[in-house]
Amino acid sequence: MNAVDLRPAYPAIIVAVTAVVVLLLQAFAGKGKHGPYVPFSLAGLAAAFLATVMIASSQERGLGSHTGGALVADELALFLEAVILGVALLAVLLSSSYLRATNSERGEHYALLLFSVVGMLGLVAVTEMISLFVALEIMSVALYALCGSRRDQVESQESAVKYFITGAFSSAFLLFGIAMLYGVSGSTSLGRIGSAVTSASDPNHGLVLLGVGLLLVGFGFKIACVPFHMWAPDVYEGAPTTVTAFMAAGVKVAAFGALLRVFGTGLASLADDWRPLVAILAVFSMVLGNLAALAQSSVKRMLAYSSVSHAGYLLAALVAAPRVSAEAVIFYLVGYAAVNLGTFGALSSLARDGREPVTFDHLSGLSRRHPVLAAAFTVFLISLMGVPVSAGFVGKFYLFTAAVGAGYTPLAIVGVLMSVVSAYYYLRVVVHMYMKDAPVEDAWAPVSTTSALALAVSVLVVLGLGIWPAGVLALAHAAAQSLL
Amino acid sequence: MHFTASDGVFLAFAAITVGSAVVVTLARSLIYSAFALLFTFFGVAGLYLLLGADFIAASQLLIYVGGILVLLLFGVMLTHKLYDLDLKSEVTQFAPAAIVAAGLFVVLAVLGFRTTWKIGPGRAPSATTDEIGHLFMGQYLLPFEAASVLLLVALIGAAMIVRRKKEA
Amino acid sequence: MLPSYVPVLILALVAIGFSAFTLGLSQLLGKPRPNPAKNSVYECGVPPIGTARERFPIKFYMICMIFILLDVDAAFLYPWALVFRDLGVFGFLEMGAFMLLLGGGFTYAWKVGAFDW
Repeated sequence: MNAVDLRPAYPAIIVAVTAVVVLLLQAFAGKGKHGPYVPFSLAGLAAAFLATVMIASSQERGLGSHTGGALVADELALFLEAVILGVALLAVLLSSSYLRATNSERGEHYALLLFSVVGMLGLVAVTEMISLFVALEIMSVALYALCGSRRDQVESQESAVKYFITGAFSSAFLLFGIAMLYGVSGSTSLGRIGSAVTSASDPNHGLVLLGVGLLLVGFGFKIACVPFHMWAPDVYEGAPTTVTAFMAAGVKVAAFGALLRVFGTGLASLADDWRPLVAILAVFSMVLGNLAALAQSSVKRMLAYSSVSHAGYLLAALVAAPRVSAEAVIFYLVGYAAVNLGTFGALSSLARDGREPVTFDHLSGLSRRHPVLAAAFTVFLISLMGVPVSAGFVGKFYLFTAAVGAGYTPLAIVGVLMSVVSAYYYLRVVVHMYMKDAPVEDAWAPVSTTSALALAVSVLVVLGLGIWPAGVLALAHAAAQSLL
Repeated sequence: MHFTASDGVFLAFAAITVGSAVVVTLARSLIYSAFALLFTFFGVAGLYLLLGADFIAASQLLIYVGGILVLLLFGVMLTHKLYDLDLKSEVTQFAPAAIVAAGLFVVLAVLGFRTTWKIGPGRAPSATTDEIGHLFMGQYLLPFEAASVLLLVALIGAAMIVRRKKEA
Repeated sequence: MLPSYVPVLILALVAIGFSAFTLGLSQLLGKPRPNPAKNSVYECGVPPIGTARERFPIKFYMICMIFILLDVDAAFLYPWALVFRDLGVFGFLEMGAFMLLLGGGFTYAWKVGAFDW
């Protein structure tokens, strides 16, 4: 019996134990009383973050090769784990005041959020398909429940049902794809799947293609790219806003991390087959996502469609074979996660008495009541547009450079054109905030200290990456190298 | 190639599976669909047994027939007026669905015959359960433990959704 | 073919044959003589009020959900129990972690009243 190396799983184990503790705190809290959920969650996430940093700074690389390769602690996994833990820390900070404002503060909320993080941490570190599936399900099931956590709102229930149905559907596709690849390779390990089929003349090529296609459909649902995006607007709109923030940031990082690993290591030898498919998904996501966002009257829906379009930008880089573009994708994900936390977090921080800003009109005159918040919101929108001095600009630059480098110049052109289109609906928010009068004075709550802290960190990340990208780029480069 | 007893049993189980699956999809009442699903699950369990996957077959009966199906029936009973709902009238996209299904069938059938399947050593394992146990406790320890996290998350989610509104 | 399952197959065939035989026999030999009392829901008992097709309380769902989770849990326990002797303390700890997590979940469900009827 060889010992199992659990070290790559330490961050996930720490978060899981924290989640159980928070859950039991809720169970043993008296009726109508609240336990110290937020401090415990923050402490657990910080400890996991520390564990990640410690593994990263230790000398051993590629830990966990003898857990049967279930999880690995290479640079890619560690970097994305750190990002996910950062996202979770900010999401917990945002949640604490939002849940109080909507009168839904419960321990389960934090426990489910932490469990979802466990799934995400697993997802970016898996080297094996069974673990990939289990991690994906942990992340998703926790999110389904979180989406429906506001019992007083029918939209929240609707979003949970829609997310669950489409999510379960996509999991089935993914599982079917995994089964096909297993049928060819006789293994669930990414490495062995990669070496099983290399040439197009192989008689098993057809089955592999089917498997890859099904995997792409499954991932397509999770990252919400066209044509698998239909759930996104309703779910993003209906879910409690802090959950949306966490989901939009965390799921994108985790799912793209898994996508990079699966298509960059396991299926890299088949790149010629799946590249055109990814290119098609990218074009449709960029075009339809941006055009649909133009027509929205709800800010949350607009941001949901914008998230679809950003999935398209990321996919556009992915065609450049993940090994080349991983760096660009990873860098973009960091800035994008901060922006998503920021935009949805800004909306959630204004919640009062169960109400929160939903439409563009609700944000009218925000610059007068909340000048700092309006400025922060503007920074996030500028980054989403891809204007210089923001993370979005540097990120998009690298994404499109990767696409051009791979000979997919039209993709980059579509991406740039669509970014210009997107300026219209992003600037609409700015116009409402700065140039329109508020219909009702003082409708929204003052921003709490915890929310302000989370938003300030997001702004710093967005501007920091825009002005001084070298540090994170170096880390992203190292992470991309570990895919080789 | 001659017809063996094993082929006969396979055909019987396949007929049960496919036949009841047709009833599941075409039945007018949801409750009939749910009960027909019982036979589909049973037929699939039989196919697993024929493939020598005894643990999977037992789990299939234990979990799907014993649990999921009961949950499904409760789901029907929990929902107002779902018993007598005529589902047939809602089906309007029969032709596209048939085309997609037929296309998928052709693709899968062609691939099934063309592929050289990765088949293990040419012996049918007598009992798979203890091998699965060793894999759970060794190579697949992390996914195994993660499965318990998954079950826990499902439990919390269910408790949270079922909770009474006024407690929220 | 798996010879060890032949008895199960025979049992299934016997069960199907027996029920088909008895049902067929009563169909052939019995003479239907319906009357209103015989056709009532309970042949001898209180006449039912309203329909039996009421909505069920959500509690059933919760109990059933917990049952399924235990069911899956039991399915996981079985292969572990078979190899427990080979694994020793290590295997015990592994299963202990598995059960502890779920145990935490059940403690929670119990305390928040998921089992209260």
